Amino acid sequence: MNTVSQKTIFRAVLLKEWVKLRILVWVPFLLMIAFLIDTYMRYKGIVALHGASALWLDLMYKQSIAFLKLEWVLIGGGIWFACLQFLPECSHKRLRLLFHLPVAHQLPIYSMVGVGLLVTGVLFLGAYGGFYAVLSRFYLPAELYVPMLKTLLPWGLAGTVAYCVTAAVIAQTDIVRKLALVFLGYVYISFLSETNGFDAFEDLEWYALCCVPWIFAFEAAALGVKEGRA
Amino acid sequence: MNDLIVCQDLRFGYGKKEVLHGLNFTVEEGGIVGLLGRNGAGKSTTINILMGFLEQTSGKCSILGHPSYSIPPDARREIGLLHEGFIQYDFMSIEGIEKYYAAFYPQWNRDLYYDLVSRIKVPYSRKITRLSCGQRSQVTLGLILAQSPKLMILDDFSMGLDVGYRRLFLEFLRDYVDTYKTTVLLTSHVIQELDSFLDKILFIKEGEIIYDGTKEAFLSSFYAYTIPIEESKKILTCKEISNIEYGNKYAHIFGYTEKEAMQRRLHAFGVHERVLNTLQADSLNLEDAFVGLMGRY
Repeated sequence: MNTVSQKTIFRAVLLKEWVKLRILVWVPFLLMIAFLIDTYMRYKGIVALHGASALWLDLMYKQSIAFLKLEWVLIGGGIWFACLQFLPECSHKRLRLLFHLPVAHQLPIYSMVGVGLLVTGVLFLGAYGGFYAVLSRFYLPAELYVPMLKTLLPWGLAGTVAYCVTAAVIAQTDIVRKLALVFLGYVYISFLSETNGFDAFEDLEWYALCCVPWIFAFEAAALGVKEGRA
Repeated sequence: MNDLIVCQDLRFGYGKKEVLHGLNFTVEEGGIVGLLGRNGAGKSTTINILMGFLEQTSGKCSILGHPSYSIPPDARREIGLLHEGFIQYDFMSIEGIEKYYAAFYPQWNRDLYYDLVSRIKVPYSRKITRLSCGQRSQVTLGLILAQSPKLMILDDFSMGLDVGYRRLFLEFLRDYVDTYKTTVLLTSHVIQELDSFLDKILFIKEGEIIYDGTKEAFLSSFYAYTIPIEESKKILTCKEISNIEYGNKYAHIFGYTEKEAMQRRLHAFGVHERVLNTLQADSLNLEDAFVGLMGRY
């Protein structure tokens, strides 16, 4: 029997995801750039008004997080990407189309989730790299800028969880399970976005490990179609 | 002949309410089979079980030799499925969706798809969401035909289509079936145009198959008689009388009962001799017979 390669299928899924994402995917990236400029202007303002020592003191002793908006870009970006991908995918019983494709349903599902996580990852890398570029403009020592950069790591993880939670909530048609997902997602994201100082999370890898099950949440929710709930 | 679909004592309920009460039918290879019934008769539930979107509470349901709830991908490749309401990725364009589906089907027939969609005379770059229901039906049918499936399942293909698009849809489907010898199971509650189209009919009413056979056999064994309304008040439905439809001046009596037997039955109910002597079987087309069997209300 003729068969189709996984590569061909992945390219087809990429095409569909591109159609869904191409127009509005840029919004979080533009916001990220705007907030990076805002952070740069704030630090530049402190240096211009009070001198570089004031900035150093502020960062070392107060650990002021002037870049908090990046947290919301990363979390909001995850939610945004999931909405762009999965609202058109799941509305009007369209998930049934996916389950009738002549391939194991995991292949298109995890290709879609993979694309979303990739875009979320690119947003994080953009924020991370952009923030590094901002900090490098102020000649801060590694002892200062490294913890500042590390502050972004749990936020990136929160953005990834926000993406997975939103995807699962959209796919889930049972209202009780939907609310349970919202609540659980809120707990995870609030925990990861709790920030009182630079690099507040130790052993972040353990937290990341706890977030891994969220990758499977969309498939679990989408399988409701096989229970006749969509 | 090879059975592509087998349903044996198929039962299903939503919660405690059973909606399919032991369906028994088979769809053999070749030809077009219509699963016909009124709204809420259980057509879409049956299709959902066949396609594995629901699991039956009891009974057997297999499609292409596989249990319907676990159809393997290779078997799904052989099944062209039209979802109720022409569900499609309508955020994609006409050409984009063709490229998408082509990747999943090695025997994809691109020319057939474009032959069909070229008739709706819209640019291929147009998104499906901007098409009318009739145009969307052509695109969806084109996608199914291009799969070159062994079995097509068309769930409520007539939904939202005007008579022109219904006929276009059916004509194209008939040509395709004649050429490629594909088997089709379709459901519909609109019987118009299906008269000369179906090779076999399954009538479903309130979750039960009440007729399974050819259209010709059905029409030659199912009768309608017209009697004055005042005489009809003496009659009740029974073994010989499947249904009575009441009009203003006349009532129509339906059943699998020939004239002489019907006269005897009506006589037993006390219908006037004058009416019995003039009793004649009415000429029925498929739609008339459908209404007669299913009832208007």
